[in-house]
Amino acid sequence: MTAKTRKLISPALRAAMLWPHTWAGVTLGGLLMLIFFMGSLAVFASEIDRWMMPATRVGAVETGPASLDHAVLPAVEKLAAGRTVRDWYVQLPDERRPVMALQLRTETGNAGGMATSDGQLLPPVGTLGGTYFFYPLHYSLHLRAGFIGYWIVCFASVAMLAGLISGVIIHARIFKDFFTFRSWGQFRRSLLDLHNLTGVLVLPFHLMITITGIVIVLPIVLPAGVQALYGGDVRRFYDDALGNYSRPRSGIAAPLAPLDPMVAEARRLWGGGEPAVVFVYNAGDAASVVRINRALRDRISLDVQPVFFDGVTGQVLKYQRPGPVVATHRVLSGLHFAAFDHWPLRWLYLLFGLSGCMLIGTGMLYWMEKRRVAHGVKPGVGWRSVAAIACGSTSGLLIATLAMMAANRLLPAGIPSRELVEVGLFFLIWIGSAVHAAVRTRTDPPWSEQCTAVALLAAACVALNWITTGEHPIRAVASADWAVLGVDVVLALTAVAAWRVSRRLAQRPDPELSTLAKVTDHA
Amino acid sequence: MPDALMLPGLFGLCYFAFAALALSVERHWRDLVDPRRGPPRRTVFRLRLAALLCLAAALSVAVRHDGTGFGLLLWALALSAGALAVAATVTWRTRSARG
Repeated sequence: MTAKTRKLISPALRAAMLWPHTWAGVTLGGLLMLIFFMGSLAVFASEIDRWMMPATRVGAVETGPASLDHAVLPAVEKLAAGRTVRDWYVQLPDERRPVMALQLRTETGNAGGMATSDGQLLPPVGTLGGTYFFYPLHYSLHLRAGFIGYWIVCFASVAMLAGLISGVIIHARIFKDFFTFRSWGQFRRSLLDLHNLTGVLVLPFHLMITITGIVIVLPIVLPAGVQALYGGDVRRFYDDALGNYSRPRSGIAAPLAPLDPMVAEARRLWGGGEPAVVFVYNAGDAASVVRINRALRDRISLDVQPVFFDGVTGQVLKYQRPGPVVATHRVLSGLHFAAFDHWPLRWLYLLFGLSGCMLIGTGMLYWMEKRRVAHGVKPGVGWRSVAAIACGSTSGLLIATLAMMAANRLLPAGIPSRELVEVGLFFLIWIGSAVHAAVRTRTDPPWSEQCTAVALLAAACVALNWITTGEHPIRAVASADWAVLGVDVVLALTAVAAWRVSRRLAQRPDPELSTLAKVTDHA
Repeated sequence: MPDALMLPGLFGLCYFAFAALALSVERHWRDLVDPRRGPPRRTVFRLRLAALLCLAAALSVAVRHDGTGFGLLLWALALSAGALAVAATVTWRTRSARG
């Protein structure tokens, strides 16, 4: 380090950065762990869906349905079951989801379902799966009322950003320690090495994912502009910014024009590309609007290039390209969403998302080990609370996730509100494992017991998938069902790793005060 | 460059680049090459030059294969992956050298 940078980062600045870094990590570490872990799962949400919804494992489709009018409209009518449909949309099949997903809003409530690409309705999937449970948990914590969840997640993300930057400032020997992980010797030093290693080497990804995550929800968390220009009407803001179009129902009945010519026209306007989602607003009304979104598989930007058609005449109502600011916002959002078809990038996103979990986890563990020196072997309430949160948000979260996946394979198909039973089990087991962590924390949280539970549950998930669907790895390879095989392989690896960790932890001697008294070489 | 070689090539180049950079760090040089003295200045320069060339080659492979947007993103993430792999190798070699 040169003299100039040494002057730039004075010991005083370093000390000033240390306490917000520590406090942010200790107080928000558990929440950030949830956000990072669920975000990592969300990268493979479609694949987890295939695993959790065996009825949708219908083999890959090359293209979408040949005719929307023949394949989609009958399925919509069947789902409506005689009720008047107000709005509906269909997500067309793609490489990762070989089925259509339909959502309807009728006069008496919502309905949804999956159908094969030729329009055959599948039995209800009975689960929220990765797309509707793990993924929303990542960005909204399922607290949608008043966008509270978005605010909390965004607050935690800003804290994460502050933590990343303050962490770089605190780190005294960033280049000398660039590749250093001393897995031997003092436990605390190994932890700090690992914390620094993941923090520094994966810093570009962590900065990118945190900033873009905040950017996505900017219109919600910085509402002043929308408030001033649109009177707080986010819908009108999005109409202008994203080129959306909406109009109220007229109340006059009118039939829907054929959809296929609209798709052809949208393709022409896009200059190639595939339709991904077709929305019909005000269905059966003279003011009906059809919206067609473009598939995102070949681009980073989240610009879906929506084309709006008059539902009765089939004429284009609006096709507006975004301005430079919105286009930038779409690219940044796209970097975060990773909606593109790029498998190496998808795996790197998973890997680095999990490295974010490791960064946060090792940070909390390091704090716990360092605090031991002050607290001795009989830690106080504060230390035990952080230890319980650390345990509940790492191994406890894994237990809850795996338990939900196991419940998904065990619960009978017919029980009422099956998807909500799964979700209830997830939260109950999560709370249970956090309570277990809190109760059993003496000199250490019950890492080894919880890791054993993780190993058993992950192995059970693989076995249950085999037993209940008959899909074992060899058959998955034979039928090229890479989604299910991938989830199974990751589950099996989790089981093996967790088992080895739990055995090793069980043999670890209790920490002694004599070794604790040696203070580490942290700045 | 054939498709199948793109990914191994990209990650390999990133790995070699960071391996060269790791050897130019005195601690790792002493642990892995010569415990008595640090790396000579000329060697450090050559290692860094090699690292720079490898990184540039990796960028060109990624951008040529995947286009500017995806190529840049893939390259930036492959850098982290390569650096993590080098750190794991350094730990493994140093640990076995220590017995």
